[in-house]
Amino acid sequence: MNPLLEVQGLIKYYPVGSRFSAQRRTLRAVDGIDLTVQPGETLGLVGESGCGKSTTVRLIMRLLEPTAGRILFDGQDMSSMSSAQLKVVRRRMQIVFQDPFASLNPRKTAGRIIADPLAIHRIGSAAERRSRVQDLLERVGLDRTHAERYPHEFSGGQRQRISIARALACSPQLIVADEPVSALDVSIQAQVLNLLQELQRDLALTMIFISHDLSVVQYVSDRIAVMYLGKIVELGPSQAIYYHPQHPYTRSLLSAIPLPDPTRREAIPPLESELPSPMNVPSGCRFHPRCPLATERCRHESPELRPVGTTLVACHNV
Amino acid sequence: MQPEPILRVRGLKTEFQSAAGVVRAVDGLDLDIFPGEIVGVVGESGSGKSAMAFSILRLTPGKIVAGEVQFRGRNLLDLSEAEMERLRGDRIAMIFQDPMTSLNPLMRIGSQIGEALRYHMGLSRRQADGTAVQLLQSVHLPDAERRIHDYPHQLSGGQRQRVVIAMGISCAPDLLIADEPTTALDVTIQAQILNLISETRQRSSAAVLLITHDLGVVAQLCDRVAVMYAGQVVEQGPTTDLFANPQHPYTIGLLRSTPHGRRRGEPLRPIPGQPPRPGDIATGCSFAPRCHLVEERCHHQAPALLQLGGGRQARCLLREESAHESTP
Repeated sequence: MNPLLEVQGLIKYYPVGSRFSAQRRTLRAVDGIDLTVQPGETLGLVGESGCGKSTTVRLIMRLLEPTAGRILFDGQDMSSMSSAQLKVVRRRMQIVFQDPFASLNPRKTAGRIIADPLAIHRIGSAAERRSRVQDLLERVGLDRTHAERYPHEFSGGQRQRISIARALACSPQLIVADEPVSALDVSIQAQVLNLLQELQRDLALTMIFISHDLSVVQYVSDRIAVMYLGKIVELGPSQAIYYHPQHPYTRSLLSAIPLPDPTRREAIPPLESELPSPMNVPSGCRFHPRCPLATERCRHESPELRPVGTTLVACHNV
Repeated sequence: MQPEPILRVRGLKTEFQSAAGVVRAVDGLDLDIFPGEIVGVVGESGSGKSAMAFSILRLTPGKIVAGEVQFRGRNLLDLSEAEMERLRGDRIAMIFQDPMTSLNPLMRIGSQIGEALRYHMGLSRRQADGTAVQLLQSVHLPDAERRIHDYPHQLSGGQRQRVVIAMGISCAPDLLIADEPTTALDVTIQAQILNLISETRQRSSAAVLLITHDLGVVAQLCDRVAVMYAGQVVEQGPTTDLFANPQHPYTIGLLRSTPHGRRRGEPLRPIPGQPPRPGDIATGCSFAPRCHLVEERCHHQAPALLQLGGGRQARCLLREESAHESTP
């Protein structure tokens, strides 16, 4: 099967500092990423703030211009597309953002918000759009009558349902969900996770699911990519990553999640120190200053992803 | 023999005036905290957990309309504002969710920590600086001697929270109230801060009231848990027992909602519906509209907090059979 999405050598650098300074520095937000996403699968992208996961998906959506690299959607290279061609492809990929309070226009009704993508892409007559909006509202577990209401009349969970309905409006193939449940309460989080899984199954959606929470990501994903400072450090089947992590960073990340089980209080020492700045990426393996396994080699030589068991791991020592 | 609680809250009610009328954020709250223990208060947004913390410190913008807050034998609600000021930051300290809001952006770190030391303990500026360095070292902030001259924006989120904790423990309080202290942090930094809170408790024997929405944080850190819903404690007990055998349907629902350890495709069992909006007045049990065990009487009869033995309490009519006695 051909992948729906292929990302090759994706790089995004930002110049930092004064335009006239001799020492302009570079912020390496995404620093060489290769990914493929098969039709119908969910790829989870995890990592801490600043690891480049959100930048990666914004590059994939072409909301940002990459510094280098290729993005192939359904075999077509998006970087060489005209804006007209891009508009056609964009219909097929949609994004759901983290904050359902910031991502909905407070001055539009839920109905308008959901119908907007249809209007932009000139899909259907006004009457057809109205009935499509009602179907979508029901599809995401809201009521038809909710179309007339404004965002402030909804709770956080309901707003996230509206965002999902908007993303589904143009019947996309790929949904990118950027921390879609992080702003929600636990009981509401479960409702939205269930909804996303149901939709994916029923509509045969392909999904990229971003979260900082590995226990959420393992639950929704087929495969997981773990990112650290702009690079993928481990990539593999979700269960393998969650139950048998190989990379020392993945292990630390997992052991740092507080388990909701008081009988398993694990005394694993947390990672020392903090994430280095992406403006000042460590030499060699970028995880080496915090790594319990680091050796001399790690200081000089950047490890490539290589197969270990069922996963790909970028580490000299596993 | 049971020791005396250091904090004993009874029937606390706090109301806010809003456009929609009077909103009761805290609605008859009972809570005990014993010396040296970490008590977790869990609940979702709007459950009243932060309003409770601010009410205990008498910092709430709302109005405390009933109840008592006994702290070391004195009812805080009877104290004058001057007496409260002497207590805050000294015997009772608080750590907030966002360290940037509790730090003054225009003041150097050292002076901010020193402020409480000079006010409460009468230290000189030089003594306060020296103690500030020691405190920063005790919360494992690297380079403490240099850092006291930094401003808050020069620190990372995790480092700022360390500074706030250093401020919190500066006067060796008897009670530390931490309101979502790690919610704004990444998991690996959260793990560091949770370790630090646990270490602080061991070193100083301060009791900690930890407010969080994260059941994982509670399970890993707390000795006892109180679960809040709609301004009330609906269940309370020792952490291990409560997680092993939850008694209130809301607690059961919360534990079932977590995706932890569940495999892909296995549907989660969320609690249906939405939490009540503040201001919604429920007759009967406030959880009844979302409860999977609801009975007809739940809609009319408000349940009391029942004593279930083993230090456990639950506010549910269906547990009456297993209750030993009614609330004291």
